[in-house]
Amino acid sequence: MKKILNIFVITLIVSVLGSCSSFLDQKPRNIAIVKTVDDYKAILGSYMRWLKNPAFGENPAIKLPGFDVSRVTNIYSGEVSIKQSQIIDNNTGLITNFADTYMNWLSQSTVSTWNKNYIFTGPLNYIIDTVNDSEIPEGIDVEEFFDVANYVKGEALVWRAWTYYNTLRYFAPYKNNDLGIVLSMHYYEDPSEARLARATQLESYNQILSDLNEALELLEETPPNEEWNFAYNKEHIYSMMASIYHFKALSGGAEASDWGNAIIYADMAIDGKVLSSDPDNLKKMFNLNNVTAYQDDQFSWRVAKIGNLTGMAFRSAGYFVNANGQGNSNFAIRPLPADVHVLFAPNDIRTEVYLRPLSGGDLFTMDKYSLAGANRQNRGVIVPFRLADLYLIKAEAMARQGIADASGVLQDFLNARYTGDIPVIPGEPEVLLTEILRQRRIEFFQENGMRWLEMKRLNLTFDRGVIGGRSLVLESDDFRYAWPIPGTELGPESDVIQNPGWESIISVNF
Amino acid sequence: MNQNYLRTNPLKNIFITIARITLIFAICFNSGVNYASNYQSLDFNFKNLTLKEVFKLIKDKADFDFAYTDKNIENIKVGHVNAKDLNISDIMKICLKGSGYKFKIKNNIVLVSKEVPEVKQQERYIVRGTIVDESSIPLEGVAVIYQETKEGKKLGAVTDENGKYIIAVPAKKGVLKFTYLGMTDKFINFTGQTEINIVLKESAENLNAVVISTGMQDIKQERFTGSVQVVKSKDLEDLGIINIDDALDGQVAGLNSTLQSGEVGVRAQITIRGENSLDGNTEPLWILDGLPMTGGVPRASSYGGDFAGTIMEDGVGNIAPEDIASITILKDAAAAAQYGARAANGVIVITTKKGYRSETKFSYSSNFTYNVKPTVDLNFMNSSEKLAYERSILEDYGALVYKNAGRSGRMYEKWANGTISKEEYDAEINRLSGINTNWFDHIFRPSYSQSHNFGIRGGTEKLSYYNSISYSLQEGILLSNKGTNLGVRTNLEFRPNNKMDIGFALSGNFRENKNHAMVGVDPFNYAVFANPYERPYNDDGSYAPDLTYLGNNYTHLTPSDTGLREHDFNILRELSNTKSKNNGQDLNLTLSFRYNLLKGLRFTSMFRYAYGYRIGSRAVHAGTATSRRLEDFGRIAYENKIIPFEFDNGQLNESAGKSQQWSMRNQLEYNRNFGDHFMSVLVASEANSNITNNFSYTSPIYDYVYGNIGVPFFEEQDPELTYDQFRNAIGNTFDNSEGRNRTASFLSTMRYSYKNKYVLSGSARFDGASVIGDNNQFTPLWSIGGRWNVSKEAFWQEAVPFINYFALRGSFGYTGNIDRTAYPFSTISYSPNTFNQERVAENFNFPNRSVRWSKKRSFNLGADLSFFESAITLGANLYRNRTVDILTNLEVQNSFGREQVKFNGGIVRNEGYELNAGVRWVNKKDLSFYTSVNFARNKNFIEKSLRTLNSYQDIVSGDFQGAFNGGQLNIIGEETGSIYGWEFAGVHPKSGYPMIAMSNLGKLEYAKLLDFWDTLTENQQLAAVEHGYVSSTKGIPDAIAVRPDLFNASGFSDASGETLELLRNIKNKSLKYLGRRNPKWIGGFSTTLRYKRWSLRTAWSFKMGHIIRRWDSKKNAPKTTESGGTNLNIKSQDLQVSNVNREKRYLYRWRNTNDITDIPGFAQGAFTDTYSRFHTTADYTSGDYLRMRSLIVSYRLPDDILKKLDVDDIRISITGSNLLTFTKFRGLDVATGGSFRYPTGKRINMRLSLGF
Repeated sequence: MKKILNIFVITLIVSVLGSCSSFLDQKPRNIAIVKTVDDYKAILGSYMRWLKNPAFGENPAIKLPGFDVSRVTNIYSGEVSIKQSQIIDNNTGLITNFADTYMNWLSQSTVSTWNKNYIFTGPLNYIIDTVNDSEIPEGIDVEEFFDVANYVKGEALVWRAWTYYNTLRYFAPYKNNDLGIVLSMHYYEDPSEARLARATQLESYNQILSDLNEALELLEETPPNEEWNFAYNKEHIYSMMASIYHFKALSGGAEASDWGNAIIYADMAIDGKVLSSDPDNLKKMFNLNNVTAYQDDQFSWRVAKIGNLTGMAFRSAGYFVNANGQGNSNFAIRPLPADVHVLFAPNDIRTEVYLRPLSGGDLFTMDKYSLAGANRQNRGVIVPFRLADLYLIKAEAMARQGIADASGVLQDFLNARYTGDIPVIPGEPEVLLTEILRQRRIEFFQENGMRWLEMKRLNLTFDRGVIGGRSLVLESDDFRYAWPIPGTELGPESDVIQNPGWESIISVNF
Repeated sequence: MNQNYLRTNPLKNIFITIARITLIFAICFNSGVNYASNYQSLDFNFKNLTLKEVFKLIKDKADFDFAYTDKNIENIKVGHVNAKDLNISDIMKICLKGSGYKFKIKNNIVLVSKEVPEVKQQERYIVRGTIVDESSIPLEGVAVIYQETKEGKKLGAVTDENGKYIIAVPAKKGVLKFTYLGMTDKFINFTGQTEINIVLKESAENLNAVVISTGMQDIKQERFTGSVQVVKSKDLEDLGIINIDDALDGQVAGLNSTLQSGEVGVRAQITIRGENSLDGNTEPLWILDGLPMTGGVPRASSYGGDFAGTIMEDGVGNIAPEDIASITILKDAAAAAQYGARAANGVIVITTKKGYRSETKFSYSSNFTYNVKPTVDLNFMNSSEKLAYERSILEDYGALVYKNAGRSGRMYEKWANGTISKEEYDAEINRLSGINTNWFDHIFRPSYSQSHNFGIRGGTEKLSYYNSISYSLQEGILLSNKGTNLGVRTNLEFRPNNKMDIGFALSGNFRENKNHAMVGVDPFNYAVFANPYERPYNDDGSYAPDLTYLGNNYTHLTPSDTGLREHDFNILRELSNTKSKNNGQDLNLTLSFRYNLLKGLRFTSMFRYAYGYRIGSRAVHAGTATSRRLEDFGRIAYENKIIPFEFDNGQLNESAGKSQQWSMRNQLEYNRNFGDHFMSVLVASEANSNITNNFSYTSPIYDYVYGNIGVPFFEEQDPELTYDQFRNAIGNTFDNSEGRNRTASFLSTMRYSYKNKYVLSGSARFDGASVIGDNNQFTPLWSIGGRWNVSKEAFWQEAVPFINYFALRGSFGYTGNIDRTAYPFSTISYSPNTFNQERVAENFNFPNRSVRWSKKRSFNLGADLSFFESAITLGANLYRNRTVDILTNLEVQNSFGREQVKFNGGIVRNEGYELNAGVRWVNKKDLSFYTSVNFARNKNFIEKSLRTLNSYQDIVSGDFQGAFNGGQLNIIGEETGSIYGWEFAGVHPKSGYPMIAMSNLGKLEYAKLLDFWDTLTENQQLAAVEHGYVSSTKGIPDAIAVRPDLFNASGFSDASGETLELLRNIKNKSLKYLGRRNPKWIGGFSTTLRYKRWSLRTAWSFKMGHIIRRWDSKKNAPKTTESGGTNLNIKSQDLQVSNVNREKRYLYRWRNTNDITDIPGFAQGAFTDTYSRFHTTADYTSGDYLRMRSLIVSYRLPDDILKKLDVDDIRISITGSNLLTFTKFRGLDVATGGSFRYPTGKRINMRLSLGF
């Protein structure tokens, strides 16, 4: 008996000791470990699926970047007109809280764009850092593995560049090279391993360009998977680079070669494509009822979103805002601001595409997105780096460098936009430039952030006049052109500094 | 017995059964003694007859028959018989005398049979008695040992919980020994006494013999090097406690127990020796009968993340207080390190009652509790005052506040619009001022609870048992709240031989909790803030709508998803038409096996399996605000529109969860004395596994009459609506989850003592967890300890004889902690969606490769003393702990690419001391008086904060260039929970702005402002003076006014930017330390007075040295503009909360120039009232309190009555809980920290306990 017991006891102890390592090797259920290149593809794939099927409501595995800024920028730029009652409180005659923040360019809601952009790039950093170390899944060979790894990584690189470029455009004080963005290039497991600070604007641009160049190198090795990829293609990268040099050329981070580079990349992106003069083509581009067409001669990609489900990333670019800052079903009856209306000539095809006359008068309202009358304000479309943009970038870059062909490029553009007599193309370089800039304003009317960034780039003064006893003026080079850095970035544990002017407005969060 | 009681009592059946059994016994016994006899007289005279002839003779003479089987009887000769007037029985006696035969008469038949020689039975002497201590308290578990001679066989018995024993002694000689830990042994020479009652005296010598149960080992206290405290079942008795953890409040030095809520079934949060985490998790490890506690099922995720350890999830709540034998709290490393990586927050060891060798004993106890309905004295306005207040706001702010001034505002608006006349307006205001509803009366009730516990206990040499059934029915003070619990427990111990010991324990628990399922409105908040002019019922008895509590009568919080409009919200309808119900079942099986392999070497194996199952439901009836708020489908179809009322469909959510857990430990223990040396070694391995599953579904339609469920139909649906848009809403109605984790551990402890004077101990443990990466999977933790029993030294006994006991202890070691939600690898969950025929992910998590076990280093010094034959006892502990690698969920700058990260961040150092003392003032047979007190001082310093820098100092020193509103900051070198802010210095009479006191640094900045003065324009100077931030240009004042919109300077003001900067600097530099959130001192004391059979006990607890947020209607009220308000010009706090009721003091707010008051004028304007976000001395109040937790009067019935009733013991006690609280805090409950939660109420408890 005793012997048996002793054996039993010893066996028990040994068995428990011996099986320990496998005992603890328990992986969580319902969760897969990111191991193979297919797992990486599945992460970004959920985002690609969302981009290509905008009607789908569900969230991708990674949070979306701050696509939509139109709600703020269209008010900031004066491109929407707002009911008087929502600016002035009828009862008191005082300026409303809404007007005091949005119309005074002081909205703090802009910080969410910063936060969304960075939270979006975290997983991209993880993919870029580690996808090449992933395992080869069963059933594919090494070559195929590298192809998949390349086009997944390439896609991530372009999106990181795009996101940082936008962050830089909205958040850097335009002329101050010292205050670029935070270049967060890795996934930080331990935040004490890094102390983040703002890079200079030049460093920021260089990083963004280097991501794009790396993507171009990958493209030499591996072509895009047409079914899967979205931004990972040469045309799109060239377009973005043209836009970057164009925006950079007047900034604090400017370099002498910027205008030249803008021309080079704009040319490579245009690649002989001709601007369409068919108003239906323009209409189609912005028509949200046609949600599946996302690539076209006239633009390299567009992102559309309809519906109001949880995955909503941006609201309509042509946004009407009521006092609550919310979409309002009667937006269609708001007339255009008078100074905007005069830009649209009767023989401009864009007048027909963008505007809709209001019944019984000379007033027009915006209907670029064919939303008038429909109860679907919470949809939107973003078409960055359009062919029209490339033409105008090229024209401006040439004009600024005194290259004679500038007027020829403008002429091509105007021919596509006007029927009958096109506007006179001025010979004077400065007046030529003015016309190019005027065309930019018309062309990108109410498009997500375009006018606001143009105002920032050109350092304009915007005077709304006296409203409710307050003079609402955005001076040239005003601090409000650079959006505030979120208070969460600014604690004493961080080297990130606030944009000048916002220090006393934004509370530091601990 | 009261018939009524029986009818309502669920134990009725048990009682009836017992009564029946008793009755049957009685009948049997009676029939046994009820023999018949025959008194017929006979006369006989005969000589030398055989029995056969005698029988015939008798047969002829009398009517008797004879029956016998043995034919030999007939030949027996009978001598001479001359009998006169004898009965048959006498005659038979004479005839059969000496024949070897006997007879029996039954029904006129005489049965004759052979007489069986009587076997001489060994004589046994039954001895009974009661053993009490010097205060006449019965002692349970006293060993009664009989030995006939020194070498003779030992016989034993143990006293039951009433101190009674019974032992059968084989001879009228020998010795009975009565022995009990901590008492002097008593010897009695046995000479045949039938009753021996003993009074045992406490012995200083034997104090050392107290045994500490660590859950793994039983160790004599004199060999224990750690810091522990033991709470015995006796200490818990009569306290009227509902939960064990609640019972520990104020009883254990250094243990801070905070009851989070008075809701039925909710547990207290326990902190031992201060916080060592930065995110507030301080839950200790619970050990039940030797293994980590299991049981309970986590809630399905659809129920939301409640505070961990609430109603259903926890096994601690499954133990009936009556089943507990002792609770041991292990506080330092030497005591707790054997539990290693889960012991950093301390260990609480619970031992349940076991059987003992005795005849079967029954015990029964019942508690009846009356819970007092809560009342608050917050000094709120009555109807006419509130209406006057609303009127005053309308006067001051006009149309701006139409929608913020309660019913007056709405009426005023109608009047102003011309919808109603002045008369109608006045009439309505008059009508309203006549209503004064006390909402507490309608929402709360006094409630009654009862609990019953029935136990059977006993055993033999081979088998002992403890069985109990407990039942409790608790009603909450909230109308809808109710809980029942039925628990059974069986502890069996089987000893087949003297080497083996097999234990079997089974416990089961069935509980049900019911409450309302209202969403979005808290009933306590409502009871406090609902306007007194609102009514619960209309005159016709229907529910009256409340038009003011939910802001602008929207159910939904933001106008963007406006949803169903709410015009008829009524709290009583919500409470009765929304129902949540949770049923939980737990089964717990523990097997243990002990075998003595060699002398001193013992093997123990324990295994426990626990299974828990929970079913929950949430039924929401149509027509409630909750139903409309939860509506998800109509919202998609009617995007941005008011959803039609037909989508008010009710909702049903049902969920279920189960958990399966097992743990196992095998250990070898060797204990041996070698002369003066004692050695003890233990090695063990332990493994735990835990799997939980949950699922739930939600039906968007629920018809509570027919029980129908389904999905709504859309008649006029938008043609563009796609399947995909509904897919999410449908997907959200299902939920499931699974969690699993495992740990494996190896440990060893060693103990050596020399002459029991010097003790050295050590332990080491390796813990591994399934979730930790290979690099850090196992963590080694160890401890060492020492002890010197000074009073055992000869010199001591000579030098200080009045100190009869003195021991010194010291320990050092490590314990740990782990977070199981951080994986070392990156994870995704695959979505059901595909893209290009490939599955895509729907969730991505970053890896946490660097996650490590957090480690706590503990250092403890202790001393135990007792004076004057233990009349005074003293204990002291000094500790210093340091916890490194504290794992927290750190919110990071989003520019790290993520919102938060699991991170081994901080280092916290806990320091403190604990004292406890007991004094036995009087100790006579009929009168005793005993007091005990415990007291702990605790400091928690941050050595490394969540963030890595110590530049928070900048903020406190005022060098920080930014806006800071004060509040709690983790500053390196300072204590956790430190709160910083400003000193409130009254209200500026001219401007009505609040004022803050300036520090010296602030005054320096003020001087700079004066230097700058001349550069200001005249208007600016004038404004500065009027607003009160410059009261004089001649000198520097002590305080400065805080202009609400200026100090954090949002926007452009009339002063220049430079002035703003200086003002901000004045504010920043005047920041000061306001106090700490955690109590500095915690403790408790108790007094026990016994007189004969009466006893009076009081137990008190106190917490001191901390501040808590002052209860303020501005901070706690529902913010009405957030729930659908449209007038965004009113964003300042005071106006925001004016729809609902307010404290009276706001009637005296500053309104006009030169008003003298301490309530600042209400801020108004486009920007929020920044001052209301500041933390000032006006926002805090001392959190000190002293609470009489219980007052207990109990009485034991005298023995003569007990004898008549044939029971061993009857005790009746009445307990008042939380009857008295002394505090400066005005608010709901100072003990819950003033937060807005279900308060812990006063209660009166009556308890009856019986032993038989």
